[in-house]
Amino acid sequence: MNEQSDLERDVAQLLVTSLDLEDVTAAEIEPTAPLFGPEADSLGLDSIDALEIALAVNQAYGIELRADDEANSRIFATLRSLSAHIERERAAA
Amino acid sequence: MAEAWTERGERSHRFMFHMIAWVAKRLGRGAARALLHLGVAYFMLAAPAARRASQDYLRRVLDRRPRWADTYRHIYTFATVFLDRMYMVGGAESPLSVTSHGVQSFRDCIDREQGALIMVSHLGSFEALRALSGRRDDLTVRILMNWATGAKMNAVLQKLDPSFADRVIDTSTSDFDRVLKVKAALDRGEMVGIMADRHHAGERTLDCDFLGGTAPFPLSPWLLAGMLGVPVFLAFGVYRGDRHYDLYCERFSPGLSWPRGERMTRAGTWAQAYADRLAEYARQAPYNWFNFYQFWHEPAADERRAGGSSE
Repeated sequence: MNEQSDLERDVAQLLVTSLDLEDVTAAEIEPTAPLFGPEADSLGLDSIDALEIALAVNQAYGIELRADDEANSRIFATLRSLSAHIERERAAA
Repeated sequence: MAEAWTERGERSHRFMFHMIAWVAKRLGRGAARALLHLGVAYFMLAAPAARRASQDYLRRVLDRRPRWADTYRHIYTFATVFLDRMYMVGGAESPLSVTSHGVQSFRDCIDREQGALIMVSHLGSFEALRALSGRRDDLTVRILMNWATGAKMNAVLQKLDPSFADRVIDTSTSDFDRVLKVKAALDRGEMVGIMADRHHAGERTLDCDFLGGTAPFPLSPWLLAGMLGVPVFLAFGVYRGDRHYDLYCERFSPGLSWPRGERMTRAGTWAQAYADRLAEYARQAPYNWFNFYQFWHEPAADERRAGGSSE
């Protein structure tokens, strides 16, 4: 397993709390595993979870995830990509 | 499953579709409706799965064994409503009349420029909602739908109303885009229509009691509503025959909210409440509900006794 950075650990905790994930702990979320989709190593989230994440990220970090953003599928791909996006947006703010 | 059927249907009935669209445009609605009989007769013979689905539904809603004439009428009603979409979207010279009921319930939201969700269905025509926005420039209703499944029809509708695509939130794009677009529209104070009586592959569902049987209803419309906390309305555009439609609007909830841990059960309660309202409208207008695939888990009791098939 890849090690989680500090921010990744926080974001993982945010995912577990906001989505009420029961069968996985924050520390167990592999940073490079897909969040969505049917792959074996995927967290298996769906569109409702996506909105929940967007709202939670907005609340916790003040970052707006926009609908027209072409990069959304990349941003939401993994814990690592989502955390990297948050990092970038925070630096830009 | 439903989408697979639509796609298959769309491919095999392409010729029929173009012919009717052409006639509707050149010769008018009367001629097109006459021609629809051909299409319906063809459909009765060439789409046995859809015919069986119609019979299963009619058996429940009419509470008797459906006759061929019932199935014919059901499919003919579907064909008419399908045809009328062109006139509803075309707007200005529409030969149709739509009587709206309960529209005042929307007024509060519009006046306060507050976004709301409208649960629409495959009962009658959700396009009847255009009767509302047509009269008010300040009311925008967007509909969540899969652009790809109805591609042929959408291309025709797009020609009739250049803003048509703009009023659709395409569900065939990525999950994130879809839900974020819904949120963005609601934040702008717009109304968003969601089909609440058909689920897509992989969507969370709940088995609901519906017309005396058990059928899966999508949970995401209600989960979405609960997360966004906006008012929820129901709308049914019922076809009454000839040129007439009745549009019924109801306020369903001033805004759903619940503790996170209870969301699945609470969303389920709303899905069931919705299935009950839908059943009520279906009983009032039995030939108006258009889900031509195996909607229930089990065929209606009478069908089972007959060995699952009455052909």
